[in-house]
Amino acid sequence: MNRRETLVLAALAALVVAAVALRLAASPDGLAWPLDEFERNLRALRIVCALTVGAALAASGVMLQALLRNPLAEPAVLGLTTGAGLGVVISIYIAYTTTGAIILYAPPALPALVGALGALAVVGALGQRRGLIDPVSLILVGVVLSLICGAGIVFVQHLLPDRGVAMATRWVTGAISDETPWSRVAMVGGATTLAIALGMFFGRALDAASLSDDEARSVGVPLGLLRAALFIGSGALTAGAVLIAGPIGFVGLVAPHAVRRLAGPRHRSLMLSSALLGGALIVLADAGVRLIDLGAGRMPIGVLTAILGGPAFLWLLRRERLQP
Amino acid sequence: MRRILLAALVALPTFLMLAGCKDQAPSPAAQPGETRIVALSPAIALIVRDLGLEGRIVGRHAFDLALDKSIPVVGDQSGVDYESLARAQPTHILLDWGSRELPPRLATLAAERSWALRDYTMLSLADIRETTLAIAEDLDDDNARARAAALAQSMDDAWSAQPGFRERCGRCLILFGADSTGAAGPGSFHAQLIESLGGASAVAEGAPFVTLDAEDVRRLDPDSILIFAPGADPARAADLLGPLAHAQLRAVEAGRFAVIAHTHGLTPSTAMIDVARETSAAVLAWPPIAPPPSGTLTP
Repeated sequence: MNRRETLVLAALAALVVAAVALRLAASPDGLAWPLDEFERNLRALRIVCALTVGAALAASGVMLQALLRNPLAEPAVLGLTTGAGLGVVISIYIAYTTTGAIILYAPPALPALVGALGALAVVGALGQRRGLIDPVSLILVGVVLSLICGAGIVFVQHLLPDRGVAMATRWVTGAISDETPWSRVAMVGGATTLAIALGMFFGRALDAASLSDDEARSVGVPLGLLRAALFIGSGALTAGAVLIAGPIGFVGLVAPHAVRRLAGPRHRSLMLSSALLGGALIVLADAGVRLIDLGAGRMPIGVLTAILGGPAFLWLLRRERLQP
Repeated sequence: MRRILLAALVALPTFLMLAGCKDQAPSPAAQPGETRIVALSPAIALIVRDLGLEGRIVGRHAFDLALDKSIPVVGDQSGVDYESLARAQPTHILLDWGSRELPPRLATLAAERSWALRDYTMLSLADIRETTLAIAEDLDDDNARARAAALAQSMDDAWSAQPGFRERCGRCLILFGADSTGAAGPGSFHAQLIESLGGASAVAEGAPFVTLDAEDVRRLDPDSILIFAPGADPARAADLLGPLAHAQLRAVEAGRFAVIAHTHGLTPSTAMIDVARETSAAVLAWPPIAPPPSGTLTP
């Protein structure tokens, strides 16, 4: 890492510390330290969930942008988050039809992974023109797929006895639940850490792969293997994030772009710095929904990230000179 | 310079935030014998209020419309805000969670902290009556018991056949809100309410909540239409009918439609006593259904 990358990394680490401190102090009554061990544990759980989700989505965004050579690629825009969400709600519905109970808090992990990878496969296959990934087609296919998966989620909700009201906040909008089991956070956190470490390890190969195929091959990058790894890695990271917090948008877009502007495009530092920034953003968003009291309970995090991330996406879209 | 600015941007909010933090004293703990209720359901909040125990409610549901807004929100249908719940220091947590999985942490926490956790069923009029009596028993309050008995008597009176209702109501289509497509089906407490007053639900088959379009409604050909739209202006009932106003329905042409605007008209609770009275008054103001001319066949 060069000096600039190191400085940015240090600044982002400091931002994470500040965000964690803010969230630790965000209480139902404004800024106040936890009253007891119970509150400390609860806030710690949400902080770890938020860091994991943010890091996973940001790292997934970096992988997708490298895999598809498209700066606008990110899990939500390409339909991966809603694909994973659809997988989860289908598994909830199947559980309901077999047991009669609606299981909301720790649904199985596999359907989320299948949903995310399925969505990525569709986007990858249909987003090509003459055998090459076309940036505009890719985004359009992703948006349409996201709408289809969103409609699928609403359809499954329609079949449930409470019309899916209970699952709407988490699986449609995106929210962190106080019910998230530590075992799940540990599983997703472990997988995320591993994926980020692998992403950093293959940083040079990712740098080369971001150029043309010929250039990547000329420096000995095994493109097929790398793409398969990025495909599975980005899908798994998105599935993990969705399992904890549902579909949260735009973090995978905003974090890598901000880091690229600050530290440059080298993937080794981009991967780690983006993960730190993504984690900090979600922790700050969670502090925001705790502190913003509108008298109607906590706002879903996904609302806040969409309100802030949507305009950022439009700005990038305009910057990339792509018309929607 | 940039680095200094960046560091300042991170350090300043952190410092301000840490400096602004208060070391809070815990809320006063529940005194021995004191009842502190969390009503984690808008319907149960109404019942507790009508039992005269509103002053003991320390936590409410996010969608609650009846309680004082200063009472903290401790959760909604999608989950519990455990930090707010713990700060409320309840002795009783009352909820109707339905067929959903009860939040795992809630059961554990209730056991650890000796909170009485009561999950009631609120799907039918009989459930509402039973729950009203059960809550008074569970809270072990003599005044509440007396009020519950009086409320049960009011329910029996309000949810009974009213003279002239059947002749004016007939097969009634029960719609929700200004959107005319959501309707009450068999087994819903709204259908039960109409049946208890002497009428019948026009939707005889399907789920308790069904979705209809204007063509479905024409085929149903109801004798009357009631729109349960909390807070709506009853004088604008025709506007709320939407496309049904022009669907050449017998009910509309005969003026047998009305809006039930009770604030809690969609909440299965003690509010259904007043809702029944409002419904009865609206229906009894209609002209009786004319018998079909002799020699014609009715469907």
